Amino acid sequence: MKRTLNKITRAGGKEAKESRSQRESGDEEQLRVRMYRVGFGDFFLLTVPSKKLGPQHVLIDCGVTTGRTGKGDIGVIKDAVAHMAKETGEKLALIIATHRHKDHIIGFSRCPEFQRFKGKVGAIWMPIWETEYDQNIRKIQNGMSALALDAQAYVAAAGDRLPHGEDILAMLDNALGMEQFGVTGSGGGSNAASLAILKNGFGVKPKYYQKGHNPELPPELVEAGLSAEILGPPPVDAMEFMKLTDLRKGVGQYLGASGNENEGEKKRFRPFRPEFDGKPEDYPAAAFLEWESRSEEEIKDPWQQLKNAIDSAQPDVLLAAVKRLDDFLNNQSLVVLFTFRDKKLLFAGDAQAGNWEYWLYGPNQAPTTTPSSSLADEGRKILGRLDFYKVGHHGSTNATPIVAVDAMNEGFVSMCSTQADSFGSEKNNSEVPRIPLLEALAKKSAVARSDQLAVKIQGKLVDPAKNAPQELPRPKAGRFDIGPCYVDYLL
Amino acid sequence: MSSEETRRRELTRLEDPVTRPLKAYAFDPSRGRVLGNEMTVNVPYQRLVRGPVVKEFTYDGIAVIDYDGANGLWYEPIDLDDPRVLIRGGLDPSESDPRFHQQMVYAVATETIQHFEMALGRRISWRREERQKGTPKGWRPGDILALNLYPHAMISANAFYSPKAHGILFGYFKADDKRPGHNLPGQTVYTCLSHDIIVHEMTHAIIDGIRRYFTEQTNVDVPAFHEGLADIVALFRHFAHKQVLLDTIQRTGGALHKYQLRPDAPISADDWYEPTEKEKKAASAQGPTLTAQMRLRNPLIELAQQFGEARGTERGLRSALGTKPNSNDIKRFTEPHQRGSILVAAIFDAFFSIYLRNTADLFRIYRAGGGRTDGGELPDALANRLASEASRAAEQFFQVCVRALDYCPPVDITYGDYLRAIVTAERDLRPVDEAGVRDAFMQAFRLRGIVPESASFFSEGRIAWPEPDPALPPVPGLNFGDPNGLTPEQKDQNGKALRAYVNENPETKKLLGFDPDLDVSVPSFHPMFRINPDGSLRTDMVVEMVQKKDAPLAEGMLDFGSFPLRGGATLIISKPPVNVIAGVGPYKKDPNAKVEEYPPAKVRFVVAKHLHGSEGKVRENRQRQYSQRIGLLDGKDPDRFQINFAMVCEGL
Repeated sequence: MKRTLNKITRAGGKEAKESRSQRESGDEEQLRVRMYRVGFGDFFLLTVPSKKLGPQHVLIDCGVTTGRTGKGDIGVIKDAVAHMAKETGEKLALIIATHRHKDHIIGFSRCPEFQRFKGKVGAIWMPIWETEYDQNIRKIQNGMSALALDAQAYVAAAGDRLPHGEDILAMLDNALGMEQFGVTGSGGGSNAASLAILKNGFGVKPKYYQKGHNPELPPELVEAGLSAEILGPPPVDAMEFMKLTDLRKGVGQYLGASGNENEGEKKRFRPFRPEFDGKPEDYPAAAFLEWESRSEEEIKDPWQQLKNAIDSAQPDVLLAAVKRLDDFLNNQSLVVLFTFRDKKLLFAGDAQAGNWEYWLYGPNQAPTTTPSSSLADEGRKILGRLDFYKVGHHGSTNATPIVAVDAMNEGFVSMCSTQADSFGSEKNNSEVPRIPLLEALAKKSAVARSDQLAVKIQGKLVDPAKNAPQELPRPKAGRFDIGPCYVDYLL
Repeated sequence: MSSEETRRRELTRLEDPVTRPLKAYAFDPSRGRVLGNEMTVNVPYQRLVRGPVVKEFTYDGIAVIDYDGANGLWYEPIDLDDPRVLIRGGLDPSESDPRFHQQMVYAVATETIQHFEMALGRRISWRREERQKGTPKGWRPGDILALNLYPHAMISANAFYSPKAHGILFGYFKADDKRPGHNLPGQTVYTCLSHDIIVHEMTHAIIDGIRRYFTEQTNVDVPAFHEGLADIVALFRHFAHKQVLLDTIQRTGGALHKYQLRPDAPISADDWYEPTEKEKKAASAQGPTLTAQMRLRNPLIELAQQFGEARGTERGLRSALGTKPNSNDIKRFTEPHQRGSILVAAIFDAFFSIYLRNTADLFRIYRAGGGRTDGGELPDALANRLASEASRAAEQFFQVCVRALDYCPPVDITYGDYLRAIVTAERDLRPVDEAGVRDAFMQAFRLRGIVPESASFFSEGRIAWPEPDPALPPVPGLNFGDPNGLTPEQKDQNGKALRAYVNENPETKKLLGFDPDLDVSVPSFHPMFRINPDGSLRTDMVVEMVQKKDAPLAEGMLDFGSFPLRGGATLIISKPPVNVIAGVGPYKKDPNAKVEEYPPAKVRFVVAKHLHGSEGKVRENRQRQYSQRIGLLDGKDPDRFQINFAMVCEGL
């Protein structure tokens, strides 16, 4: 029995068992996008039908992170990967790792099933930022990792005294795939280990792509009729955030590293001999005029006010630096547009403004002082005829520009792999997924959220997220099918 | 003490000195003592307490407070009135004594303030918190009364202006281990000992005091403008150092814009023991064998050399020129420093063009007498004349750049607006432009693709802001005070007069370019006292008027929240001659009408950014698009719209 999803939408119990895979349902001719629900992270399987070779599978990311609240990882990624391994017969035509964040790659090192894929992966695509052949890129990536490690150690040591400490740690955990003090995350694995597996563990050398490259699809996928275009990331030298190499130099020493990047010596240093030490009382009272009370409210000593202002200035810088690091990694995302029988599927990874703009507006045409409502032909053409959109960055606003939403056609399907209440809050207009964005997308597309599915797999039960919609919408073309830990879109 | 004695002492009391000599680095410690790097700054005399902290309450006061947040330490503050310091003309330069650092920060900061005030023709004041309608009088927590300067606030290769910390935080850090430049590997580098860095950061604080809304991120030019202008101000100070100027003139044959300088000794094939023929041929390709053969970078156009080198970049932090101009970068660069460098290059293009134009006759005379400029020394007399000309032109350009601030709109600045402000200010203050300064600016900007959005032609007349509508009435009731500032009563009176002028007459509001449906606030008004080319005194008042509405961050989607969209106008109002009132004859005080104590003043310029109509719509779209691009859709904190200088200035 095929469930019509405008009637019953949440899987689980008997219903889930009755859902059908593509093969079971006799949909061999249809393209299928499967979104696994693993929590806050992406795990997509694109299955391309081929009469000659049988279904060919493309894995796009496999990761999950705990998030700011610790609720992001629902603890089923290993089961989901085992399900995927069975489904694909442990054979993948292509793996795409969009970027090196934990919520996109941790599964490769955490889930032992991937070991069985060795020698049975046709190709691996990663962004140019993972190449081993460019010293500058390596230096930047290593610098970022070193900064993240230093920052993580610093924040962990500072404990509750540090404002925004938990926000910073959540971002760093995602950047490194490791929890505090380098201890592996509760589920195992690390980003470094996942990257090593992707690069050396499947018996195939990854290809590293950027906008403008002509990607090499494995012959099975070409035979099946799939084609692909790389839209992002922009060429390395076109990315302004190359400037971020300064991040480490800006905040690195504050974190305790002495300036020698390689040795990472951890020590604080005093700039002057102790004889020059003073005390606030060395200053006349007039010196602290700036910090005296300006209202009736009782306040502390003026010099204490001053001290607090200085002490809090640097953590603010640290928070901003870590946010930039987070954006930097997101912007490295490999953005791929697949075409199959004239159907267009856009997988945007976690690309943010700088990545999108490069192809939305064309090279060197980012809107500066003149507001630009006109996208480049390429951008308009792509967004104007989508059949499927993988919602960027789990539904955060920075990853799906409003201008892009405006340019999208109507009637396509959006899939958002997310877990409510992992990052941000509605109270602060910072919840992920951001409700107004999904509402805007819902006006044009049928939006499926992974966290609206119930999971029942290997005896584990996970309820749908409280705030997620009860029902999946009905797509204008194709249909949704729900499985024990995933939702399929058949088109 | 008898009254006679008191009187006698009063009569013989020595006047306060005009200046206070203090030692400082002209550039930074890495240059040692050569070419006048250890210099004396004669700052205006102020009564000080330990810190140094300015004792008298003034709107432009500063306080140097040496608290180290990284180590949780306070360092002993210097007493600049200690006779042992006074008799030396300030402590001698020393990297290891924090008291010298405090002295240098005070000296350079005070010099920068003075320099701005001379250019503006008025005292400056620091940032004031935005007042909503009905906000009670008095100081608000966000107002900066005395700018606090923290010479060793943090361990970081950074320095930044922080309105939250009511001042500027300077960091210290260890130099790169592998490529430390002129520093020892791992040596401590203090950003507060870089003349350039102090001036750069002070400029941020000063601009923020002059134009509060220039820290609101409304378009891509706003943070870049802050960065660019801060660099420009720091770089023009280099031309005040005569010994460096003379040395650079000799090494460039007078072409001061060159990035590379001639070394003391050329590289030759004879540098090696019995060179082979092949080696002789390859001599020029070989590296130097002596320090004196190494090429030098032009110190006049390079910013913060020690800082840049200590970070392993093998050069200063940024330079004014050195790349080929093009009109594409302006469409491409959005990072504030990178985009700011386009503005810096445009200004220095104009500056060097004028310098070369003004000195062309000197070179012609020199060459006519058989002199050569393609190598060898220039005669001292010529070098001195060139140095004077460069120094004079640099001062002139600095003044032009700073004065233009008062002719900028109060909100949403763009590079195009700044060009219009420069041209307008120059036409206003120097109607005759024999040297072609305005044209030099226009061409340099055009070469880099910077054109005003709303000007119909690229001619001087059209680039300058238009004259206000003749129907605009004069402003009654303004008190211009005197150059020492306005009393609180005068301020109250002017505030009331200006608010009434714009809000009470719908026609006036319309003529000033405001949305008729929204109230207008008056965030600032400053009398200015400047000297006309003919030597006469002119008194003007620069007034900011602003109105605001909330616009949705995503069009048609109110759930995304809103951003403040501001319109505004800068008014330049001139004090009328006291014996004439608007053409009605000799002025007579009316004892019954208080407001008539001050003759109505003419509005000479209205530099407006509209909030309504088609211009308002374009600006709203631009700001919305920019807000989305820089990720402001999330969050509720109103501070997120403000530039975070700590991050923009990461790497300064």
